[in-house]
Amino acid sequence: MRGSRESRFAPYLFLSPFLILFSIFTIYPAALGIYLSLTRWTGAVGQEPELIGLSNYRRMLKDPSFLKALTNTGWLAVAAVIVIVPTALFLAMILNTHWIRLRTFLRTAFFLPIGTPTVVIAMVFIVIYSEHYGALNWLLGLVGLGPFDFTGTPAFVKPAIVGLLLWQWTSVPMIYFLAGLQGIPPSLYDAALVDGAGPWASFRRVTVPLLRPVSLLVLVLLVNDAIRIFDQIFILLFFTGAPYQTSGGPGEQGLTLVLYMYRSAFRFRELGFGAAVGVSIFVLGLGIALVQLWRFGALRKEGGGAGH
Amino acid sequence: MQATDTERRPAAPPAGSRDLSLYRRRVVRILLQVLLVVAALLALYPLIFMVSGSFKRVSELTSLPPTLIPRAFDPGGYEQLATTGFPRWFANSIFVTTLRVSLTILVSSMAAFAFAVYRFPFRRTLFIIVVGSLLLPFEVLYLPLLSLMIDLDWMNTYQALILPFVASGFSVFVIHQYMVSLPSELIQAARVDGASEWRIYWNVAMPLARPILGAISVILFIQTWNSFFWPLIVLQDTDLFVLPVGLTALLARVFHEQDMWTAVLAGSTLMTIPMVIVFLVMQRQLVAGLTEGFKA
Repeated sequence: MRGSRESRFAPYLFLSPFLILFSIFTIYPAALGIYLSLTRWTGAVGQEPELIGLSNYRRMLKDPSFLKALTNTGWLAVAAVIVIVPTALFLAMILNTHWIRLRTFLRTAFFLPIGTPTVVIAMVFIVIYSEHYGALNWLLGLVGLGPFDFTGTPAFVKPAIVGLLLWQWTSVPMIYFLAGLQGIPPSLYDAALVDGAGPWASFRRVTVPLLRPVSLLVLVLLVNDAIRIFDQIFILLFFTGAPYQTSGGPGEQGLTLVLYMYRSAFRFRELGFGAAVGVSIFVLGLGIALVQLWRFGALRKEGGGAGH
Repeated sequence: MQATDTERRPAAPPAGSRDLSLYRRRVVRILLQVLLVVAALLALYPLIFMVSGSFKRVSELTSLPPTLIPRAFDPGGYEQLATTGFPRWFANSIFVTTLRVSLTILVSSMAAFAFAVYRFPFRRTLFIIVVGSLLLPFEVLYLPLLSLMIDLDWMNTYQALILPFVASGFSVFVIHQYMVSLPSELIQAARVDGASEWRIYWNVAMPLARPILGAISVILFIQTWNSFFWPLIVLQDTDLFVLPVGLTALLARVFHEQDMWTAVLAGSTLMTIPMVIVFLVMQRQLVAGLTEGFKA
C-alpha cells in the first residue's frame, strides 16, 4: 500500500530538481532571448531593454560583416567535413586491419587530441604558425618556401583554422568509424572476395554502404560543431586584425557567427543585437539539423535494407 | 581487405604470379604502417612541443630551428607562472569542474530514473521537451543567461559557472537509454523487500548504471574543463578566473612581454595534465559512451 502511494509521487520528486533548474536556466532564457532580440539593450547599469521591433534583424541582414560571418562559417563547415571525414575514415580503416603494428600507440596518439584543452591547443598553434619562429615555416623554409604569416594574411587564415580543426576534430569521427567498421560482419568481405571483388570494389560495395549511418552521424556532429565554433578562432587570431581579439582576423576572414555575436555584444555593447544574432544561429542550426535528421532517417532505412 | 587471411599464412610456397602480388601487398602494408606512424607523430607533435617549450628559455623558443628537446632545462616559465594568479585559477577550475560534474550526474540520473522506471501523466511530453533541448546550442542562451545573471546578482560568482549547466538534457537522454534496459524484475523485487523508492534509485539503479555514468562524467569533465565563452563573459574578478580564461589573460600579456610565452606554455602543460590523465584512465569508458550514444 505504502509502496504504491510512494511511487505515485516518486517520479515528480525525482524529476523536480531537474525540472526546476531546466525551467530557470534553459526554458526561460530561450524565451527571454527572443524578447531581448527585439530590444535595444547595452547592458549598462540602469539601462532597461527597450523594445524596437524587428530592426535588429533588419540591420543584421544588411550588415556586410554578418554575411561575411555566415559565409565564413559555411566555408569552415564544408572544409572541415571535406578534410576530416576522409582522414578519419582512412585512419580507422587501417587501425581496423589485422596486420597493423603498434596499434595501442597509434590509437592513443590519435585519441589524445580529445584530452587536450581547446584554448591550449589554439595557443600552441599560434607558436607553430608563427611567421618568425614557427615550426611550420621552418619546415617550408627547408624546401625554399615562405616564411608566411599564416594568421595575419587573409588568404591563409581559413586554411590555418582548418589545419587546427583537422588536428583537433579527427579523433571523435575516427572512433565512430572504428565502431562502425567493427560492426561489419567479416563474412560480407569473404563473400565479396568469392565474387572476385578487389579491395577497392569491396570498399565501395561493402564498407561505404554499411558505414552510411555512422557517416551521417559524423556529418551532423561536425557541422554542428562548426556552426558553434568560437574558442579556437578567438585564441588563434588573438593578435591579428584590429581591434584585437574580436575582429575575426585580417579581412574578417576568421569571423564566424558566434564571434560576430560576441563582437556585437561585448565589443560594441549591443546586447540586444547580439541576442538577435543568437536567435539566428539557433534557427540556422535547427534548420540544418532537421534537414540532416530527415535525410538521416531516409538513408538509414535504405542502409538497413542493404544490410539484410 | 581485412579478415581474408586473419590467422592463416599461405603454407605452401605460392606460384610466381601470386608471389608477386603477395610481395606487392607487403610493400603496401609497410608503406601504410610508416604513414600511420608519421601521422601519429604529427598528432603528438603539438603536445611534445608544448611540454618541451615550457622548459625552454624564451630566446630558444623564439629561434630557429625549433628544438625538440630544450638545450638547457629552464623552469623559468613555471617560476614566472607561480607569480601570476595561475595557482588560484587551477584550484578554481578543479572546484568548479568537480561540483558541476557531480551535481549534473546526480540531477540528471534522478530525472533519467524517473523517466525510465515510472509511468505518469505528461511523461512523454516532458521527455520530448528534454530531448528537444539537445537541438538548442548553449551559445544561443548565453546573452539571455547573462541578463538573468545580472538580475540575480550572480555576476562574478561560482554558482554562475555551475548551476546553469546542471540540468543537462544530453545526460538525461543518454542515462535514460541505459536505465530503460535494466530488468524491471530487479526493481519489483526491491519493492517487495520493502525498499523505498530512493533506495531503489540509489542502491539498485545507480550501481547498475555505473558504466554509462562513468562515460558521461568524462564527457562532462572535458566540457567543463574546456568551458571558455561563458566564464569569459560572467567573470571580471581575476581571483575567480578558471583556467581557460586565466590562460587567455596571460596570453594577452605576451603581446607586450615576449617572456610570457614560456609561462603560457607552462600553464598550458599544467592545464592539460589533469585532462589527459582523466582521458587516459577513462579512455575505454569514453569510447564505449560515445558509441553507446550513437546506438541510442
